[in-house]
Amino acid sequence: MKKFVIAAVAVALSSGSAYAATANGSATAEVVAPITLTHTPAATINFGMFAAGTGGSVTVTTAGVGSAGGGVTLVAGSINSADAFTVSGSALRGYTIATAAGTVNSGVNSMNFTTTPSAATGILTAVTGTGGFTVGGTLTVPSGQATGSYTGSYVATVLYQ
Amino acid sequence: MRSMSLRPGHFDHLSDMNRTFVLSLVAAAIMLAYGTAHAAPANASGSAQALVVTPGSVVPLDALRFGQFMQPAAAGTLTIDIASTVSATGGVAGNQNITQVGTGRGPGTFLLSGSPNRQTDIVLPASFTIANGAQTMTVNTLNHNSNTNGGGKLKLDATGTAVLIVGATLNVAANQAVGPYSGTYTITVAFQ
Repeated sequence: MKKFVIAAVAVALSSGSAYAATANGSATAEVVAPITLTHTPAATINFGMFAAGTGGSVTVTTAGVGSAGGGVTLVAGSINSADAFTVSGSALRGYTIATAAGTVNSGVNSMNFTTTPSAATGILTAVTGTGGFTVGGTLTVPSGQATGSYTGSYVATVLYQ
Repeated sequence: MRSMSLRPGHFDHLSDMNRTFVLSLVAAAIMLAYGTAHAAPANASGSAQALVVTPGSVVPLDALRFGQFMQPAAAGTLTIDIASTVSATGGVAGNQNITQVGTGRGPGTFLLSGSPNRQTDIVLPASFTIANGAQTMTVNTLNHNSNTNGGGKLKLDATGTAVLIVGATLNVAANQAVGPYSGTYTITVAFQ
């Protein structure tokens, strides 16, 4: 019986000193709409029509204005234009714009060009989550470059900031 | 008292047992009384010692924040550990590297209060869900800071407090619906 009493006392003490509490924590996450880049149909960096001469360059601004440098001369009536892209995604989110260099080809002949986006960064609009930019560039024209119609492509990339 | 079964013809024996039991109770009572008297000094210069065990409390501080990430094309996970380190797998890898708007990312925290230097046993749920309307994501692999290698325990400091930090993994489905998700989870803390 003595053991019984001692055991009872011990149990009473330990239950008196233990206490369990619960609490609710909260957890949050947000899935953000993916950013998409769409090339505007028919838009292109159009370096226009020119005579290569002793070589030089043709530059098209992001506003689509063309100019020739070095021995290159633009032909009268040559049409220049800038390329264009639209961006969509999460409203008010910022993004970076990067455009790479490229090459235009006509059969076995080619010329290299660099590109310049109209902005390095942008912010998608508040309501629709859209944006856009244009791209100009500079085409390097070697002396006596073979005549022909050259086409090519380059890579444009947008990333959420 | 259950052991004192009434067996006819053994009243003498019962009487003996009963006496033994009563004596034991008296002994216990005396010990308690002595202890009480000792702890109640009669004059101001005396000292008293008592172990006051205050009930523990748990107060949520920071939400477990997985932050913003771009919708993944393939399923993946986003993990926030107790050191606030962020890691991602599968389709989420890379998609978490976007500017965090608002409160940013971080583990959940709770303030535990109780008696100084007491050990606590922490029980976290195995998993829970966060939702945005009918869309849900599962949070699992919950873990917390601990003073024991095997986890499960967190000791209160000399002031009787400790900050419990909870890390977890968010499971994101392919093309998980865009939007803000939230939910709650219940933790249990047993103060020893």
